[in-house]
Amino acid sequence: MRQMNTDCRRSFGEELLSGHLDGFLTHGDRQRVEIHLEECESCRRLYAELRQLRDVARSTPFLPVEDDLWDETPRGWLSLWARGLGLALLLLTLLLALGLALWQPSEEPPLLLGRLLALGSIGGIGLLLTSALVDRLRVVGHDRYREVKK
Amino acid sequence: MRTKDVNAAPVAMKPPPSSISREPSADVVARALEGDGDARQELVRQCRLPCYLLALQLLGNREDARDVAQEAMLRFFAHLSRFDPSRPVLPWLRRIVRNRVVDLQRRGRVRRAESLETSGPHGGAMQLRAMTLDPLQQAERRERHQRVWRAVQDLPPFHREIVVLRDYQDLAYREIAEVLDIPLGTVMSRLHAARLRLRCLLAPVGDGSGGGLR
Repeated sequence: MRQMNTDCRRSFGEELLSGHLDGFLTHGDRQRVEIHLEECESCRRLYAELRQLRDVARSTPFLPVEDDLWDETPRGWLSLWARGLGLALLLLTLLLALGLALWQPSEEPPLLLGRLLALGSIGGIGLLLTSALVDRLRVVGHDRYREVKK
Repeated sequence: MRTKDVNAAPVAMKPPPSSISREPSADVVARALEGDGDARQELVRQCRLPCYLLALQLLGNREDARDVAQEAMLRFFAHLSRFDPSRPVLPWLRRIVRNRVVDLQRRGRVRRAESLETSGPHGGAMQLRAMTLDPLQQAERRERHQRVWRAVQDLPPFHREIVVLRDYQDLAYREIAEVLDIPLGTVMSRLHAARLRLRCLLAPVGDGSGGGLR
């Protein structure tokens, strides 16, 4: 925390320093500030620091962004969940099938397992397609400029 | 006595890069009001970048800034029929952007602030233009910009917005008062408080001498 400067005999509110920095003071206030700054080192130091901060902020360059920034549509939670579940299900199915292939059981694998593998594959692909469909509908439904664009 | 520094009052300063935005002409606005598609497209092109930059500086991340800018444009066109074409467009848009930002912040739906330079298809949240400085000076300058940017994003929203409007957007006190709907006198005091807080955030740890960039 900064120590309060007891030597400063400023007769105006400190915010006038910012006002002076920005050039928005009346003639009278500007003179008061300038006279005080000539006499008070701590206010002069504060003023210099504030000016430095302002100058750095003001000099921060921003480049225009490309037009395709406006075409990006964020994915919704439904799409993300469907995509994640779909991928997980497909991966699980694949691992199961791989495991069976490597294990090479002597007997025919049970019918239930076969059905599970088929279900997993169909379910995974279905979820991925759902995710894609939801994204497509979102783009169409949230085309924010369809009223503006030709 | 350092009267030279004191007397170097900023009278005519070069405007900050992010404040350079061309106000759409009254003719374009009038034609857009009449339903001219080309004029509406032109309005979109001229207005969405200033909206985006303001939102980006207030929110600190691209996705939220893009959403806010798009919504601001939507609201603008939704109420275009009530707009007086002789009045400037950008002050109205700024107010819409700022109000939308406040809504997002109140609902706690603002994403995490990004650094000044992040990787991405657009070169990140912002790109630093190539400067005519040597590499060391460029790096130092970039570091200063980064530090101040991070500190600005760490300010509470009511301090951040006034610093952004004054120091990044170069709005006059009167314009800031209009956007924030506060008295003119409050602008100066709130801005000063925000700058002092910013200075504290940038103060080196353990250094009681104050802030600033060394």
